[in-house]
Amino acid sequence: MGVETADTFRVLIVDLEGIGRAPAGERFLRHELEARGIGPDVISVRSAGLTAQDGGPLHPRTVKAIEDRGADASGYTQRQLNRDWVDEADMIICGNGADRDEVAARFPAAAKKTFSLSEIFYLYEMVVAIAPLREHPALLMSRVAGADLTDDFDLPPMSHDPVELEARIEALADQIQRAAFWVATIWQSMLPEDPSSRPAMQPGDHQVDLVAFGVTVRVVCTGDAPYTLATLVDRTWLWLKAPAPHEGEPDVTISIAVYADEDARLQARADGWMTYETLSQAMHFLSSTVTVRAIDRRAGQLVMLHAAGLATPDGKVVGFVAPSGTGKTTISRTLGKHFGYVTDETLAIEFDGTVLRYPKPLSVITDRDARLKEQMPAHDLDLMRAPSSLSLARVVILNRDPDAGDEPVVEQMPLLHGLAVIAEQTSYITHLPAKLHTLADTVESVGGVWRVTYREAAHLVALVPALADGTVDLAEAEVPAAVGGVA
Amino acid sequence: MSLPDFPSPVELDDGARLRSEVDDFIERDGQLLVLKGNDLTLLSHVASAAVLATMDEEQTVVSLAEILIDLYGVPEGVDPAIAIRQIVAVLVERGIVHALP
Repeated sequence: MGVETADTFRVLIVDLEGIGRAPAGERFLRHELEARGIGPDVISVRSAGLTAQDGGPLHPRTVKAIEDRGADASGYTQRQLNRDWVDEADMIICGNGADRDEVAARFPAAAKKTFSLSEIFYLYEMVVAIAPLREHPALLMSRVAGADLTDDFDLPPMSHDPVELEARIEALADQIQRAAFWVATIWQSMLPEDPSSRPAMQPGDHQVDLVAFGVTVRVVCTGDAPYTLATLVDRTWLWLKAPAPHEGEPDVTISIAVYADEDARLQARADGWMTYETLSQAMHFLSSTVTVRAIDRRAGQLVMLHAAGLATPDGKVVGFVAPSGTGKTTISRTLGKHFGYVTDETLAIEFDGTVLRYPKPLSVITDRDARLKEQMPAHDLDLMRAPSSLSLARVVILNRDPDAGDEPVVEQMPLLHGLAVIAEQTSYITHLPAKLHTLADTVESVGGVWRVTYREAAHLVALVPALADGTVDLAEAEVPAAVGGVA
Repeated sequence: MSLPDFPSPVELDDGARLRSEVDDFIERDGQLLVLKGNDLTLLSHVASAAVLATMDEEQTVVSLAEILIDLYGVPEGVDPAIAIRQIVAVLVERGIVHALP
């Protein structure tokens, strides 16, 4: 466990008084991260109150609630929210919408990285299903405005009435602990591997070797039924299976344990395994882990877009760019029955325009209450395999509109407006050799950025060949005003 | 009068020196897409001009206002001294422009 560095992802939790919800969030989240071997050099967590008294004590009832749940409450003193902490934070999580609004009012520049707990809870896995951690705030924020969210995961402030406080605090603590567990589990699935804490394989463990856009990946399975887990991985990830076992050390190793028993999970977690209670959970998070760790390994080497990719028979790829949860998987399922399925999530493009196939299992929400996406193998969905030689032919922004007509409308975006959208859906843009210019070169080499407005994915089937060949009647896109006025 | 839909004007003296600092940008037809850290901002023409003017050499609030007025004229019904500080406020808020000590 090291100290914070420039690469540390810094989380700041904020509430009103800084004596209850935020400190509890800090300590529970630290506890959950530490239990997963994630040190403060990787993710740091601290908290502050909007009206806290610097140096003041934690509410004694908060101390008890934290310690009753096995976390450490020692050494905490109140901290009032200050500009330095706000500036340093990569993500700010507030107890509720009122706290979020107050943070944004005091520090307008922080509004783009500040969220209520309900926004985090309801949007997170929909929006940032598969992306490196540092990209999460922007991806989340891009969806907050249009999201119709309830605020029932928000946390009310502590009460000063002893009877009301007693009634409220246990429920609050349970809710915060649950959120901390859940967020830590998501974050763990999207972090690079720390090889120094990799658990050793034991007799009876099984492994599956995959290749994800040129990155060799080994999934090691242990737990109650390692063979069953490995078989499930093998079958679900069939189209990405390595043609032969990796020779030597793979680029990425993912160590997964599935135990029904909680004590067994705790032990496995302490031993360095990514640990889940059910096979469904393991498969859900594996999709993120494989993808994000492969993205991490290819940072700076490829242009990697959050996009679905479909290929014509002669290998021309149309990339459909859209934020998570706005239609990429549906597009892939629908169009992939007619065209080669390249990917539903990460379109990996070499600088010469060559596209690398990443036909991962499609993540489909089947049980919203369980907050899991079922991983459906492409071959079970009758999708077509993409040709082995692929090149980028078009970059298209998806704009699904329930009021659109049957005929999709295709528009040419002004380059900067299009790039602004595409860049937000690009992983590790800061690592690209010429940053924005590398992305612009890639996009301009295939005719700039187009946008398609459509109602149903099926309406796009007939359009794909024309998109790939450039034989589409283009409308001129209306674009919103840019930042800093409309001059 | 101030510019509508802009933040409050930043509190700077006329002689305060301004400089822009970005990690990368693309310019098309006088408009900029700017990368600063992990943040992307698509700027309007007038904000783009402000950034370009303060990129290679520092400008005071007054000299920057003169440059923008030369390019775009005085916005109708708006106090230029307030308008320039509102535009700068947007850019400061995004970390693209900062006032030199």
